[in-house]
Amino acid sequence: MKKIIQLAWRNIWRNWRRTILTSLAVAFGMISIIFSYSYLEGVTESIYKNLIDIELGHVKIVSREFLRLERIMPKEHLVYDSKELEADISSLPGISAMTERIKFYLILSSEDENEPCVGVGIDPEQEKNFFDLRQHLIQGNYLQESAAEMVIGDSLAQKLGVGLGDELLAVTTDINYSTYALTFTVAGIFKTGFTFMDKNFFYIPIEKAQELLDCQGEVHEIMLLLDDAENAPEISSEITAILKEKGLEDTIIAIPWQDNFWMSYLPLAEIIFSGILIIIMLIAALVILNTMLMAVLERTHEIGIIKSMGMRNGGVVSLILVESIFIGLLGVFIGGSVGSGLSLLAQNTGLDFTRMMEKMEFEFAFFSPIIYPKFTLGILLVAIGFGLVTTIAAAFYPARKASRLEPVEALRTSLK
Amino acid sequence: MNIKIRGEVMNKFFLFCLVVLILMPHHSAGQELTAEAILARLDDNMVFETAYAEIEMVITIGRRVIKKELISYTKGTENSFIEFLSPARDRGTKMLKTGKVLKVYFPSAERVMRLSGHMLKQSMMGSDFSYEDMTENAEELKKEYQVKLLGEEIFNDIPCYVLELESRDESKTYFFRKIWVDKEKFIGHKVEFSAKSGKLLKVMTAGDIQSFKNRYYPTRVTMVDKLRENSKTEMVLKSIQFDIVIPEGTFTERNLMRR
Repeated sequence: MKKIIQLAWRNIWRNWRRTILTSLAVAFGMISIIFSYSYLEGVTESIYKNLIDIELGHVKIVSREFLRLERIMPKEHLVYDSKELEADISSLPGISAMTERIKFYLILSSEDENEPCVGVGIDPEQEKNFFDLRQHLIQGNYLQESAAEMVIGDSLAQKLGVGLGDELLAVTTDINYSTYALTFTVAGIFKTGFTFMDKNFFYIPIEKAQELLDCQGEVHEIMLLLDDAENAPEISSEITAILKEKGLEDTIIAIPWQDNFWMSYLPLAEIIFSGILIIIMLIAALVILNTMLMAVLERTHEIGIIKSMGMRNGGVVSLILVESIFIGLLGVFIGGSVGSGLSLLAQNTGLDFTRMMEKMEFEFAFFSPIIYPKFTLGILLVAIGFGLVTTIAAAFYPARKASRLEPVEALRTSLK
Repeated sequence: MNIKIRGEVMNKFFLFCLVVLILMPHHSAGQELTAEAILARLDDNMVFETAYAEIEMVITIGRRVIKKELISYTKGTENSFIEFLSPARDRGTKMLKTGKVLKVYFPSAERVMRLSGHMLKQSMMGSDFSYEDMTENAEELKKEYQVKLLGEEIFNDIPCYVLELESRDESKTYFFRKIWVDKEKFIGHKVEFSAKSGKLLKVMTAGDIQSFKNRYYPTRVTMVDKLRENSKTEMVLKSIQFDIVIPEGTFTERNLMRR
């Protein structure tokens, strides 16, 4: 055996061109797999994060009717006495942040234009822990506590023809069917990369939203962030107990993020991603297969010589397999390093698809335009395993076939 | 119901401003009328005069009932001025229509807004009427729609002609209208407003028809917005005065912004 190994080693370096080319095929497969896998992991992670920051929280507390009619955002279905509820909730352990929101449809009007859009009343201080608009501001400033200011999406600002410091009139029907209007100054303009937000949303202090809707002291949503996201169901049960005490459990509901209906879309996304990864692996396997096949077949003549010098069939197969292990290791090493390097680099700088996404007609909600691939050791190990297994398996069949040829036949063959 | 009416009456409601609210001329239908002729009678019964009305608007949504009070000044079909008196949050909100331009003043924001685009289709003061509904100029029906006589039908025990109107303009909100016209009095008792796709958008019915000398008019108009769940709005005429002298400067922006 030792001799075979030595022979294999020398063979490899004798035909270093073939060796390098073959190992590059393996490296190519490795790089594709590592990078795509990291990228898809990054996408999945960003979807979770965005969903939680913007829509789900770890626990969300709303009125049941508001939830049922969520699409039309019925203004009048509020969480009444929210301050009292919040005080009770904050005494529970494991809560790291809490905020409240008001959400409603209305018309924003500038001097020349008006647009229907979605207004979100937020607590500027607390909201930073959830969806931090400061990171997405492209002009101006964030909201101050209760000033009559707003922060709006850049596409919305464009549609309305306004810039920083301009005034907008917000007109809405309140919860008692009266019409009310307030003016706001544009304090900041944001660009999140989520088209649905940049085109339709604006943020104002929650007190102003409550004034517009005539619902002072009440909110549509209470959102919680927990120290440990997995605890969400337990904390929700504890909140439900509090609601029961107040006789509110029929009107108000606490939803842990795992139970939120948005989550039901994620398995679908994950299936799609797995599918993509499998296809990439298949292609990589085919490339490796093809290369290895050619590499072995072109050595038929050489194998004929070896056999005529006395090596047994089993020996030939072993020789070729050992060679392929070496090639595999080389390819894995190159591919592994380059692949990991690329992924880590992309992880640091992020991949910016903003331009591309702007041109798209439809959009995937909560799909960030800037993706940070997530590279893990697990991914590397999977890729290495794949690389080695595929290389050796790819060499096996041609090796056996070639080894069974009669030396005379083999000697006659020439692939020149 | 107590309706106070003064002076010789040449009536027309502006603010009900919806085609259906007119008074008939003197003769009765004896001959076969074409669709166009029926529509013309419906349309034509607008004699330009002035009016001052006190109106109660009742919005019913599910089990909630919301009442608002407003007053209106009207001159011809061109000018009108409306001011809301109650409830408190609506008090001081005013609307001014001059020609085709509609402006609204919001006391809470101390701003005047010229209504256009999306805003026109919004519900006016939370009711089933849109701002656009309020700017309708009844005279324009015969200009802007092609009309067909579908036949005759009894509606609420009243024999009516049924007219179908199709807009000449693709972009009109109410592309189709179906109007049940009283054969005798030439008032519209019911109107169905539909979109180009055929989808029914709103239904308006007129009721409590009162007569004065030879004039007829409905004092209660109900509008149901089919796109709102369980909702209807009634405009009830509490009082009306005709042929009054409208104060100077009523139809000005200054009057809109008066506190």
